[in-house]
Amino acid sequence: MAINPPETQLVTASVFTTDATATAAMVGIYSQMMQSNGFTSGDFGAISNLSGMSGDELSNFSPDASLTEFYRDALVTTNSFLYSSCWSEPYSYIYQANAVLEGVQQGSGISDAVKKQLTGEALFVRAYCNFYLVNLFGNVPLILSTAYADNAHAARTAANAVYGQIVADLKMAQADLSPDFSFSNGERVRPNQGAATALLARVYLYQENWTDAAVQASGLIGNNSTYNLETDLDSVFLANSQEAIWELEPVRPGYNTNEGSLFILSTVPSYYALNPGLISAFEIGDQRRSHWVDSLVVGSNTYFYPFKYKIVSGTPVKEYSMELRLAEQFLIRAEAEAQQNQLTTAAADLNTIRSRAGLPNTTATDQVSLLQAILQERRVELFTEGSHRWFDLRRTGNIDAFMNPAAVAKGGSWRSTDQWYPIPQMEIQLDPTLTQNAGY
Amino acid sequence: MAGLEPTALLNPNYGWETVRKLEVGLNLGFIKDRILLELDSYRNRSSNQLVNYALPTITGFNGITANLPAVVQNSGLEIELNTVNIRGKQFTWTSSFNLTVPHNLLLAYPNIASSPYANTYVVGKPLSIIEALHYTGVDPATGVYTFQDVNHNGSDLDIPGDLQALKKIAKAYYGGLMNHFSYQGFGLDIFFQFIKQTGYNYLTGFPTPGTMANQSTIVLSRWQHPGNQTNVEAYTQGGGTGITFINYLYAQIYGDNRISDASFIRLKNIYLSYTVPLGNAAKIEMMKIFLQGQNLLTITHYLGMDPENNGSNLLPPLKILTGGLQINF
Repeated sequence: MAINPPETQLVTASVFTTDATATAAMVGIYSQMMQSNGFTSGDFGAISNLSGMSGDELSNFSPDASLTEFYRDALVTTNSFLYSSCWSEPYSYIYQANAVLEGVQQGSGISDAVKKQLTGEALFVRAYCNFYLVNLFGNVPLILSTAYADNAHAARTAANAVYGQIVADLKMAQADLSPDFSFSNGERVRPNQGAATALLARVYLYQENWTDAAVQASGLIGNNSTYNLETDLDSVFLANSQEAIWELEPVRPGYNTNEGSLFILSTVPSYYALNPGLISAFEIGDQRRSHWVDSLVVGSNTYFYPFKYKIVSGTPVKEYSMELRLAEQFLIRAEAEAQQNQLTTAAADLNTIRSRAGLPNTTATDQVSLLQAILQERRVELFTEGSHRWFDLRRTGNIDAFMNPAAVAKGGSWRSTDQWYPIPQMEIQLDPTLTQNAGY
Repeated sequence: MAGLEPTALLNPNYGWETVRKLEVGLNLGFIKDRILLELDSYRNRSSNQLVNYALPTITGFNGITANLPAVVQNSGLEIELNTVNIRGKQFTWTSSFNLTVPHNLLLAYPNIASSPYANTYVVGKPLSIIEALHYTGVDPATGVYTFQDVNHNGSDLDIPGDLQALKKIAKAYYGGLMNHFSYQGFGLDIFFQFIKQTGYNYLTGFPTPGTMANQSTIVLSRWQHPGNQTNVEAYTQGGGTGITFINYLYAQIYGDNRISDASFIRLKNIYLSYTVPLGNAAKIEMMKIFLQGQNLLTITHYLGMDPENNGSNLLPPLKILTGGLQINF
């Protein structure tokens, strides 16, 4: 006896029979990313904020023990944000990306152009999620299909192999995605070829593949018809700014970005304020200190908060949540060149970002101090965006040196094993092939 | 632009559950049915249960509708006894007593070790077992909860290595006793309810000290100096650094000190009424004055708010006194 599906749902097979529904299956992912309060939404549970607390970027004012554990670098394997925001959400998007990949391959009735676009986008999203998983947890299960029966017993794959898959996915995405924004109505809200290139440059940098990182970054920096640094710091985070490579469009009615409504304070913070260590890291005369940071005085306390996004709530929507932007590419190329001892060009790229912020040229001349200067520049340019600080500290080998004093300043202590988050307990219970990270 | 989101995984192979029931009953009456005894013994075996089979979220979802290969047995004994103790011209007394003794058992589960229930259920034991860390007291030297290190690796917080199924959350037996007395116009009903069971106690919902929540008075007896013998861990502000915080969290989620006896006897209902004798000429058909008390008395050793709904901070059933006058015209 066959029964029709409910009126409000579609069977998978019928989703991938038209361009419109297949595209909806893909863009649904971006909508979920912005509706959630975790992963990459910019809201209180987003991994940029969780890792910001774990490092030296954010101070915690929430009494919620699950958030305090991140701030104190004392994560317990049963932490709810660890499970939902850091682990389950990206794997849910990986499932959906795999479903789109399988669906457009098997489905008929989708035009070739849309098929190519969706394949590229799904590969990009899969690579993007895997990037965050491998940088938060280390070795993670690599899921390449929707076959749940096999995936339920997946073991952790070595980080190198995960990175290899990320690179392969991004290269295929580059071939499939178009260089313009024609398929997203001219808005920079869906990943295009530029987004794949930008993430690939970052991945090569993390893999210490300096030559390829510089090549990819140059591809974007040289593309002046599409991507340029905004000269006005207050314009960087606007919707479809010249500097944006990929942004996520807000979906909450009556609000702009989640970051705006979360960070901008009108009273004592309920969640986060900037770590005083970051405030003192700004050089004198750095325009970002006045344009991207604001403060609120309550009684005898001053609370500093991020002011990259300037709209707390209201319409119309003028700001989109930034995922990838051009400034990072300059810093990637600077670091890649410095590592290859091309110190003059490295300093030039670094100075482009510094002069945009009203700072004089860097005084670093040798490789070691230039690399430290680039790490410092990343700290004050990319703060509260996409977990850059937390990942930078670890991949450059600087995490113990910075976190030992920083953790004490936060009222806790630092063990070197804290640089990797624990695998959620619930997952190990349900998939006994998973092993736990050291120190947990 | 509208989006689509997947809602569930596909399983084309699921089917109905089956339950096989076996029941034997015996109804006996003695002394012209002044003593009525009902005995009932049942044994139900259910298999192919249709459940939301738990999946790790690396699959993209946390469950799928599927059938379990488990065979679960629910068996038990039910007794009901109704007696007319005294039947006189003025005074009568009747009683009613019922008792249920349930048993539950997981008879079989092929390949449980590779299923998501490997660390939750054990074949040959009831489903009500709780895999927990076995609590071995608060260390008098450090003030920290300690647990049994089953796998002898130096850490007593290994999941699943240190888990044991020593305790369960289940009812051993339960029932009620009702007595009814009547003397001329007076009537008195007394109903007692009793349950012998184990349940989650206060420690399972123990609010983190320092948050804006009330605490039970047991925290006054917490560990404070080396040498203190107590069952409540030390308070500390070194959250996260010392093992106190982590041990407290693990105790709250995995410790078996949060499971204890939750048996109770409760005077559930007492109802006293007096039907006023009226003459035949009265316009009023009936007039009755009554007084009712509910949940007046609970006898228990349970640590928590309510042994019947245990663990969390639910208010127990309230003591209610009702009085009234009923007049029928």
